[in-house]
Amino acid sequence: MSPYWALFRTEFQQYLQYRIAAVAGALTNIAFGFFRLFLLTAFYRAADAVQPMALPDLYSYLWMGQVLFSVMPITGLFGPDAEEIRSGAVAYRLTRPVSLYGFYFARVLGQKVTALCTRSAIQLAVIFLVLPLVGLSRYGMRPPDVAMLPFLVPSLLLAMLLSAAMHTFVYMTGFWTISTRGSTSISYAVISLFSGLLVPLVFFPPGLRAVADILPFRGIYDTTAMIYNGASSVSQALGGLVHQGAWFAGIVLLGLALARRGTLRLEIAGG
Amino acid sequence: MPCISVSGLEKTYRISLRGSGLGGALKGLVKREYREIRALHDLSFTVEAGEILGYIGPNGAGKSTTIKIMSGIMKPDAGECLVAGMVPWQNRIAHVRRIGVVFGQRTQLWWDLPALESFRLLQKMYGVADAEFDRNLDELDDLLGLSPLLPIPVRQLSLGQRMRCELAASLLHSPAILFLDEPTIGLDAEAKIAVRHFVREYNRRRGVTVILTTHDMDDIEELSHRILVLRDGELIYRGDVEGLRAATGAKRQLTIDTVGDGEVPRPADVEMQESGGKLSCLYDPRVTDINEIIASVTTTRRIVDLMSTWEPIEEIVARLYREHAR
Repeated sequence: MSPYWALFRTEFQQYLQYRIAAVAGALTNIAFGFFRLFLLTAFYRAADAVQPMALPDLYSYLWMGQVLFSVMPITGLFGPDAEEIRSGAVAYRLTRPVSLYGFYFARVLGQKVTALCTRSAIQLAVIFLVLPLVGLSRYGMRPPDVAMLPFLVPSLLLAMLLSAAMHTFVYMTGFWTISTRGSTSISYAVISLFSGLLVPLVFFPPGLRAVADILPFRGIYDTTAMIYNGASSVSQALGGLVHQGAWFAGIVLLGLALARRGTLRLEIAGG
Repeated sequence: MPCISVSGLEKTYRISLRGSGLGGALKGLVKREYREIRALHDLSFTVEAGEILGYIGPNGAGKSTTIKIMSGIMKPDAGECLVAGMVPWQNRIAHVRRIGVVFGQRTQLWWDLPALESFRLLQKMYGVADAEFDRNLDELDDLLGLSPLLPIPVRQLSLGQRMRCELAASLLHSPAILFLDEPTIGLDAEAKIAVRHFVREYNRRRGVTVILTTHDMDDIEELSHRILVLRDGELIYRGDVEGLRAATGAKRQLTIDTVGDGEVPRPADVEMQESGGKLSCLYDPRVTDINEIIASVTTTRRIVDLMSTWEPIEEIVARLYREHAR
């Protein structure tokens, strides 16, 4: 068994223990989901213009964002791993016969997969099982477009990998800034805007939309949500997958370069 | 052939300085000031295979820096370092397979998982075969009494229990060299003794080379075959503990229980303190003859009991640090 797979599994095992955190996180995401949903509904009601997305599709899009929230390189960025360079715990990591980047990437991915299997799964259960029971099914999520499933599954997978790569990249900036709090705050702002989390990308004015289309951040959410809704044509879905894959490779390479140069200039203080 | 050889090692850190108060903080936003701190200067030594080397020095002397360089975590500014034939920072991954490291102030175990899970993970990381892993774990269990600790989440272990697990974790892959950076820090007396006993016994059985940094002089006296004393990045002593006593003019401490209340004449060059009939005399055995002290005491007192020891090694080392203070 490869060391990275073992790291992934151990992390999965460790995070699986935090059951109450998963439930609490899921309920928070649901509550905020309704908040955003009602806010955008009010906008729809107040505007006369024809909207680029029908209300049920908008709801699906929003819920997809809430479900993926725990996987995005936003959740867990302030966790103990983020402080390892600052605290010097990275010293132990460097005494292992594994790549430092690979070490953190495997851990981050393990954490994200756990989040998907617990927090996101609970949310999906609430959306698809509880909402109809309490008569709120009109605010729920539409079922996925079956014809797009062959694109949806790889897109979801790539969204996870891309999220993990961005997350690890933020950690690696710690070699320069020591604390990753600054990079974390910047990435939080950039990701909320350009992934579609703040406002769906279809509402962006053309200039900003063009920028968002090039940047990697739509790959962790918007691309997957649009495929889920069946709003992407086959060629758009394919383009989306290529965009996700290319940025995943690019950000991994950037992260590896940061780790390599970072370990050479590393100074571990104290103790 | 030496197992580790270090020569001409240099390392300087750049420390950013910040003025105090709001003014200083604002100034720091615009212009950062730095000061260079020399951590190591022209450091050279060798370590023989199978040896336990005590590496001591006051806080900030550069001990941890040396350990981090030898373990491949950090690159020096200049100088050479060969550990078992390899330059640690040139091929970190190949190098770290053959070393074990314990940083007493940190943990290498997964905090919320039982120690055994961390051990299994380390097995996979080092690619240790199942048979070897089981054999090593058995032996470590035998020496450290690990069995009852293995199923407990690490966060619920006491520091002493955790340190036993940390030691085991660093040895599962049968390293040839073991770096122990303050392994007894914060431990109670019993746990310290357990750690010392283990290190001595494991070294005897496996012939592992041990580099031990510590501030606990009992660790040094009981474990190390040889010691290096570092001060401000330079070696101020190398040799064994006996040699350290000779080199620093270590004194002997003679404690005499007496009856009677006559004034005791103090021989020259002897420090003498009295409390309730108990006389405590500190003298250099090369200068003063013990008979001289006893004779002067018996002029006015009757001796009930006496005991003679070397002064604590702590005092010797503290004196050595002071003598070499910059």
